[in-house]
Amino acid sequence: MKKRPSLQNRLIVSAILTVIALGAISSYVTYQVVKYRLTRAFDDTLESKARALLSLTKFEKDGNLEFEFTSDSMPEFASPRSPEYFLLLASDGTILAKSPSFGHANFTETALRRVTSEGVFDHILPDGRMGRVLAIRGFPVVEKDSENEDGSSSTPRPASALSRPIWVVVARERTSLDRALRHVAVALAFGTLFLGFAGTAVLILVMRHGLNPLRKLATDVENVDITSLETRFSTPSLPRELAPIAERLDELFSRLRKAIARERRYTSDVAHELRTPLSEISIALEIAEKFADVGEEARTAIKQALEATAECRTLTETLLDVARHGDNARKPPMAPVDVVRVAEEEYRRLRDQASAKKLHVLQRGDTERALVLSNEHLLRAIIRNLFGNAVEYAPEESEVVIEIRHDPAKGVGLSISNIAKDLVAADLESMTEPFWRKDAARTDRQHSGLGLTLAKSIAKLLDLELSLNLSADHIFTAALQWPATQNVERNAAHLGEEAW
Amino acid sequence: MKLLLIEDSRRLRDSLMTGLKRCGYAVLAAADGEEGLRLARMGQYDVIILDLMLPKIDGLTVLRQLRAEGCETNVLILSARDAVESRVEGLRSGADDYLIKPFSFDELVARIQALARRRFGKRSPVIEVGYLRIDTSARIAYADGVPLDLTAREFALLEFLAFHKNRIVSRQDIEEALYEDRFALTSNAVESAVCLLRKKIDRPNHPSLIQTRRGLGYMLTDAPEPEGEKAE
Repeated sequence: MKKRPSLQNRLIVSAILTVIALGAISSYVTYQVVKYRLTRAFDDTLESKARALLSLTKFEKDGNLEFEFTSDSMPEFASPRSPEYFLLLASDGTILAKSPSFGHANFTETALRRVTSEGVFDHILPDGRMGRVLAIRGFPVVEKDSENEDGSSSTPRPASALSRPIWVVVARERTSLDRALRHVAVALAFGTLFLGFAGTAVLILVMRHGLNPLRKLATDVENVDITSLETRFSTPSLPRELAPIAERLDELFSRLRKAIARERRYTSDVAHELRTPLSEISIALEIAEKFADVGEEARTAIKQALEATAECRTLTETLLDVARHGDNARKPPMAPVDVVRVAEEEYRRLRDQASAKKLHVLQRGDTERALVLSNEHLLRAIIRNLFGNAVEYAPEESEVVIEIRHDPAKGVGLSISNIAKDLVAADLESMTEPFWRKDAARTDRQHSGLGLTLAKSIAKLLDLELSLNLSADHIFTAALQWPATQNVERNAAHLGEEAW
Repeated sequence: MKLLLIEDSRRLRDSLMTGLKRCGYAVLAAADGEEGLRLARMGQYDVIILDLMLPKIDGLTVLRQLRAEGCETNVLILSARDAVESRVEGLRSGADDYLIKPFSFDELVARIQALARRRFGKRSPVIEVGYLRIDTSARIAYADGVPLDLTAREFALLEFLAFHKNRIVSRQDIEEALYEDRFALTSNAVESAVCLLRKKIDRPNHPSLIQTRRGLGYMLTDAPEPEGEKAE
């Protein structure tokens, strides 16, 4: 049978996937934010340097650009190891100054074009490292030689008419930035993974714990059977969400319990109440048959009435048995029983009937004795019914096969087979229903249609499996199977086929 | 033999009375526990047939009461309750037998006979007295192997005498055992019955097996004394 999906597993998987997805998204967003901030800080540093460099520039009166840069004040632009770079460019792209770190190298044309178009970008530095380039456009101050009225020198101010814009380009390797970003990415990735694993573990525990009441309710419902209908599912500790389900189950089971008790009581009461009037009828008829001075017709009528009374009596007793044994709460006393012996004894009762129909009864089996733990009285009732049905319904001069097998692993099995041309596969489902008979007109009054119902009830009471089978060539087989746990001992001897 | 039938079902009570009387038993009947208890206390019975589901006082209470008062009469319970617990309870309360409804009349009679034999200490249903062979189960008596044509009352008388073989039973004992209401009997009813029975069982030229003891009663014996000494 296809396995049902698990609510718990579904919840856990969904929650885990959600947590992981959210973790991944948040990690990505966090990374992007951090990357932006770090890059921005990096760029701000570059810009500060660019501005610092711009502040060192000054247009002299003769229009020349003075650049008061010294390697001592900004040694990073002359460092032999991991230097930074700067360029001062005129508006037309002419290089006005460059850092000592360039040496004989220069920025590529591509880079120079990007300076004016992008402002800040990543580019390979002259020393081959990946760097970040930032360019600002500024106006160097113009040196003015003017005095104030009080004779002090005035602060040089850029003269828009004389100052020309220049580009200050600063570049430095971005290894440290990339390393920091990598660290952040790794940290976030590990964090996401940890969240995934830890979250999974926590979710599993939390889900299991949270679904415990549901699981318990499911187990309780699963364990309910005909003997435990008084089980109550609704308890004070049950969660609010499950309470309506449990309460409704309690109500339904209570009604079911009462209905079953009512049905059993009804069946039992009806049969019981029938006993007294049946006694009255049968005694009156018996006395009339014995002592009444009546004619032949009356005597025949009395005899027929007695036969009908006997049928009613059998019916009421069977009804009472069905009602009694339907109550599986009352287990019968069990003791070792030899199935082979019981089967032989029950068959002997029917031997005359079988002979009258010229039935050929075959015994097959692999054991002389098959001891099981059972109740002999009830077992006889089932076997008697099954044998009786086989002998009754097998066509004349046909074969009836009784087989008893003892498999230590599977247990003892008894089966009886006969030809049943009138049966169809659909009948198998109904045969154990009360009062089922193949003949819808119920002409045959010898059989009430309760035999297999009773056999089924008793089989259940004795923990036996009763199975009914009809083969394609109309061989009907009724089989009893004992579980291996009910084996008592085995005394095996292969008998082959033997006619009883 | 005398029976007390305590059964509230009128139809069943009437049928059983008819049948048992036809079998030769004297039968008194009660329709409820109270009446049954009263009748049981008043008379002597060979067997009390007691239904359990009775109005006024239920059958088990009647039984327990009788046993508590020292009543030793055999009691056969009739009941529709077939559960083991019910049967055990009935027997433990003092019943001698338990018959479940619906039952066969023949079975009821057989059980009554068995209880009666037990009362008289007889295990076998066949009693032999001289040339008489009395089968209390089949209700047939034989003289030298020839079946006797006895009415039910005659057989009941013979059976009663046979149960008391070689012992004297008084006219009163016979009246108590064989008649429902001895006070309605004529003064010579027993003598007439004995006389009729003698005619059927006596052999010619042989002392009657039914001996009369003047002032005492009658005795069925397999060693009869000569005729001169038995006249009343």
